[in-house]
Amino acid sequence: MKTKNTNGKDLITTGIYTALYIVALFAASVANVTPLTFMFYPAVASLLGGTFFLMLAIKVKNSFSIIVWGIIVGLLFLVLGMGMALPFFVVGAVVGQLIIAKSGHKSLGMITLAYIITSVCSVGGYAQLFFTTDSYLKEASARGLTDDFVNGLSKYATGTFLAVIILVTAAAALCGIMAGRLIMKKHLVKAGVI
Amino acid sequence: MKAGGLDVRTKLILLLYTAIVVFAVPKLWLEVTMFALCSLLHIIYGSVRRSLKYLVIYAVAVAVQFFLLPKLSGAALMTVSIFAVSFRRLMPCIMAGRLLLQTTTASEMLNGLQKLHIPIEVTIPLAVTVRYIPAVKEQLQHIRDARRLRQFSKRGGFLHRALRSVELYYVPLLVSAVQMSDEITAAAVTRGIEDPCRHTSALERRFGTADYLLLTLLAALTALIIFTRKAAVA
Repeated sequence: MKTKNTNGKDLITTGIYTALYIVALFAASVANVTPLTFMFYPAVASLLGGTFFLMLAIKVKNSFSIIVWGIIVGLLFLVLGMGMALPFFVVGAVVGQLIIAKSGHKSLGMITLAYIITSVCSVGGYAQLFFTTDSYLKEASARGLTDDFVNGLSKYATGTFLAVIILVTAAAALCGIMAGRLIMKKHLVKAGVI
Repeated sequence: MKAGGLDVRTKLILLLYTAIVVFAVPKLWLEVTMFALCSLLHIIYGSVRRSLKYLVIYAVAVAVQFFLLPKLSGAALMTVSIFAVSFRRLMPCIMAGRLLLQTTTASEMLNGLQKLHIPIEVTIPLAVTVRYIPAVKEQLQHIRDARRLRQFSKRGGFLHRALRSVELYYVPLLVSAVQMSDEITAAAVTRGIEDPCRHTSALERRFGTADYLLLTLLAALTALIIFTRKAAVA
């Protein structure tokens, strides 16, 4: 899926919006403080990052930038100790890229769908908690997390709660894109930067 | 070992190794070992003061885990343990990451990644991302100052303030992102970023003694981990 001539502008724009997205992820990590909000980290992250994803999808019209974004953000998850999120996130980004490329980078609905899919995939970072609950919790306490935190986590390791997280994340991703759309309409289109 | 002694590929391997090992093997001794290794490298590279700062934070965090945490309970326990345990676990990774970022120039990194046969479509966005994050942080500081000066934070109810504050942060960031991407592109195209040929570098790096030494050390550490695992099982 390579374009024949490398377009320098696309590559650099991808890098810049990825950087902004990562800063939004850092801002969202405030959520990691309690076990309950810890579970909603993907939701908060996709809410804050939506604007930058929207800009990336609209500004860079090629067939790989979203995948590159997914790889870089996934690598960051790996370095910050959520290695499980990497494969899920990259798969989500590939699917998102296919959807966006197919709709020609124009349809807001398709971009929103792509972002929702990618965001929901990032919930995959918690796969260990839901599918190998016992060993995950044992590991968490071996790392020195307190019993309170681990008990708090174990309470949430149910299928229903997983469904709730996925729904909330999808809704947050939708809101994130909507917020981005509002900001674009109100400021950027008028100022002529898009 | 002089400054810039390690190959960028070695630093990358160190970062990935630290990230995987510290989180996959929840053992304190391993974390301490990785922390010590990274501090040592920082010292060798000449940033003694930063290394000492990290060391103090790390030591305090470990001490808190062993002496203070058993005495706390409830919300205080939760908050303290986040900083003392979860944040502390990130420190070896943060240090390996800082080592990579602060001792490698962008062109060195691009050159090293090119040698690993990673396509240019990934390496250039990665290099730009890594260089742009500090710039974003600086911009955020400026925005914060400007906001405080005009006392935006004191108007309206909570929801109104929250929405407004998102807007006040995002719009300047996005506008300057658009400008920056034009500027960086102009600079990079001038340097031949769109050239389809293999890019050369004036500073060709090869693996040296220091690289092999560090890689051997990591291999030995891996062997030690496997050995202790087996011993624990038996």
